[in-house]
Amino acid sequence: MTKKSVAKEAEEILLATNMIELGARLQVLQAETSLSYDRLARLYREIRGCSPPKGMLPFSVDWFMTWLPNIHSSVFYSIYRYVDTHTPAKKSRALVEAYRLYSEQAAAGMGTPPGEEPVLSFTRAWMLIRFFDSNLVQLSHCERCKGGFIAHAHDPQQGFVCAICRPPPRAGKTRSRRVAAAAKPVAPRAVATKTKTASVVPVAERAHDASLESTG
Amino acid sequence: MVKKTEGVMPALDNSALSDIQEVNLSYLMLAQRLLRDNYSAGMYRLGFDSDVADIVLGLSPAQLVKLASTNTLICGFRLNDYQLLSTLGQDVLGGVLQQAHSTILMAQRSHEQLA
Repeated sequence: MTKKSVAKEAEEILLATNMIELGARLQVLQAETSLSYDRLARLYREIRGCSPPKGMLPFSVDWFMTWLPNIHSSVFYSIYRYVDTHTPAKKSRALVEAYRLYSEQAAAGMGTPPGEEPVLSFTRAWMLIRFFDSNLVQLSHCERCKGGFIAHAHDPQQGFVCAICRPPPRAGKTRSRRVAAAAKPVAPRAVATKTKTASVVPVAERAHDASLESTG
Repeated sequence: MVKKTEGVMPALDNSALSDIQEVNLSYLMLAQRLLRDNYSAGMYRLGFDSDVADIVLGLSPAQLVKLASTNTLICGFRLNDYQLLSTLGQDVLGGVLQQAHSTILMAQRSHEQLA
């Protein structure tokens, strides 16, 4: 094996660039490429125009179980699994492609206003794949719609009903308020951002918050 | 069962026929474009497996036209499943999550079918 292939390095830089553009944290890049920390940090500054955020990654498994995050992550994971198994894009390439498709879908039909970061951040999406690889989470199949949704590993599959077929009683509240507000001509954007403060918090700050976020 | 009398079936009028052919051709051209832009994402969007994707990508314009000029649609309805469609028809939370639901079900279903 050659020690350092320039072509491979170029490939990795390209991959890292794509990931940074999608909002990856430095830890993700370090895990997915063999580039040095210094080079990655430099690349990050070049693309984002600011230093990479410090601090730990969001590590909570429970976040994926809360209502809206669960739906978004299930959408992402379905896409990822398709891309990873059936197309030539594998592993980290599949992650990039699937995340692009997910954020496109989130902007198109899942209520995330364009320009805002979708509910599931790139770093969280990467964490999710790691959780699946280490068997911390599983796909449980809803007995009504037969769709696979993310659940804790070893949770009983029998009688599982998904977050869309049986939303928690509180779930629609803020959302319907937002829809009602959007129906009125007065500044629907302002209301939308207010109800979704979670997604406008800068990534760096959000990373520290490993606790459960509101169910939207 | 259904009464079947030979020779009575009314022929589709010309405009419907040319609409079908137009949709066919647009579909094939769109498929090629999606695959050319981004092979992997295109496969996901179209629900193709890689063998089909390769063939479609390699079709010449003349072949596209030939394939498209039939009296049937060559693209299928991907939600062609009674249970799936009736689930999607339910009005949960004013329909905001319908797209999320269909994305999950469709991606996983074609996953199972192709596997």
